[in-house]
Amino acid sequence: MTLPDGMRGGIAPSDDARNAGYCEAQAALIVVEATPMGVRCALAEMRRRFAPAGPGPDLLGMAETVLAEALNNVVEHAYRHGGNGPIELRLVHCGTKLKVDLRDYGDPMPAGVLPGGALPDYGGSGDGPPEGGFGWFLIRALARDLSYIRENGQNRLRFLVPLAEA
Amino acid sequence: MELHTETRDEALHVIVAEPRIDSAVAIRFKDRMREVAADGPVRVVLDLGAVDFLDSSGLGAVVAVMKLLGPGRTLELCNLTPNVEKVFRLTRMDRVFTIHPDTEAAFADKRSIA
Repeated sequence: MTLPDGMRGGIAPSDDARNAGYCEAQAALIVVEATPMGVRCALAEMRRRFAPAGPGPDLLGMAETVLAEALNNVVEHAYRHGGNGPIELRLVHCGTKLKVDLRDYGDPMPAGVLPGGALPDYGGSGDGPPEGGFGWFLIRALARDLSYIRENGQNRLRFLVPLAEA
Repeated sequence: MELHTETRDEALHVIVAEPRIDSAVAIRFKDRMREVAADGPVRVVLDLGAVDFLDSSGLGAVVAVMKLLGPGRTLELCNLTPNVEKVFRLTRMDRVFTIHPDTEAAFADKRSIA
């Protein structure tokens, strides 16, 4: 599936907004293609939607890091057999946290479960420090209440990430 | 991938003039670093002051650059912005690289020796 300019997006009320409890804001729905540029578009849109009005510390740093890793995983793994999307991102601002609901239609997680969050092996192999394997470590280090379900051909990853300076 | 380079205190100072090192540009970053650092000074100081965002692909690319320089050369970092610094700290890569708070600190030792 090809989306014309890397993304189509917008703000739509959703079941998430209605079920969000104390989170009164409507969910921001962002839909992008599963490519590195689509990931950039999604992160830029997240910043545009949730950046504080005034100057101050960057409260979206952790959210951007976790979202980037989760989105990159969808691009590199879920859709690795082809197809470039879509990726659907639903974001709700809940007090000091961002509530994230990430959906795609690619391959399921291996064995249907989320990967662990161990740091990759350092130097023991003689190859020096690792060049990869940090993604799930960063997600698990920064996100809370991670959950994953596979349903009707859809992957759905949900988590909370604190709105906090790096 | 815009990189600015100068030779300073017998080291190669490479300034990354890009706001992001992410999966969209990680390979290009590594390739450009290979070009600018080829046959250069032993010590390379990578200035990330303009980089607001670095993901795990970007982190992997920085590690790859260190490896491609080879055992006889060093890659040091300076001017990390808060979000980039946090990624290095969380992944313990701050123990792998010498990280200077700013450009002055990165070149101060060399000046005092000279």
